[in-house]
Amino acid sequence: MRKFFRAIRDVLLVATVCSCGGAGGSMFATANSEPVSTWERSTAFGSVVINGIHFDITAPPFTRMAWRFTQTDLAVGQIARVHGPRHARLERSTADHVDRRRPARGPLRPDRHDAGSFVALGQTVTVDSAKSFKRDLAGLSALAVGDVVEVSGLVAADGHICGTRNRTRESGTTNFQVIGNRGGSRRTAHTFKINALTVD
Amino acid sequence: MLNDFTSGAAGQRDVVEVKGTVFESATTKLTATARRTGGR
Repeated sequence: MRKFFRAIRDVLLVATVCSCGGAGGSMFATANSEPVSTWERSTAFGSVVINGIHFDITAPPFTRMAWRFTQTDLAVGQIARVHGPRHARLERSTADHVDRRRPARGPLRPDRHDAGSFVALGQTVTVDSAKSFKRDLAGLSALAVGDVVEVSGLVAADGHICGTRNRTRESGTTNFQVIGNRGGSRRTAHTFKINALTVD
Repeated sequence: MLNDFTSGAAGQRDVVEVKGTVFESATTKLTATARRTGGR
């Protein structure tokens, strides 16, 4: 009989631990948590706040296009997608996974460079303040035509990028990249458009 | 140029990530070396 009660106690203990969800984080929903995934501008290292929930991002795998990176490669102002459980009664959680996004990296176009925006790789990037630039980059006025600019930001419905962090790359960089809605496909020419950019 | 660039339904506006090393600023054309759909 004592063995029977001991077995019942062990079952109840396991059930209690499982229902707590655990601070370790999991994409599987429990009774008190649900998985969430959202894009967010990073504002500080160590954690990110999404809808009032502090997600600890010190430990999860950081990846971008299946390439792993570390937290030190994530700069304030860059856009990251945080996956993790949201607990019903807790204001803190632990991220399971963090993705980084970079909508465009390319040379600055000469004829579109004004106080509030610039164009790189055919993508219009709006800049709302000097905070959108890497610390050692003074702002839009510090950009020169032909500079290869790396843009982090959110893409608006009309296709333009709301830049949250921009920086220049080393002179001579030729690894260009753009993410956007594909349009204007021309099957005979084997091209399509991403905003003003023609991709061959 | 990648052969499958124009794959997909007509009018489809899927999200594409494109990488390339040759950019012609006069025509705003990028010659792509890699493409991935669903990058956003």
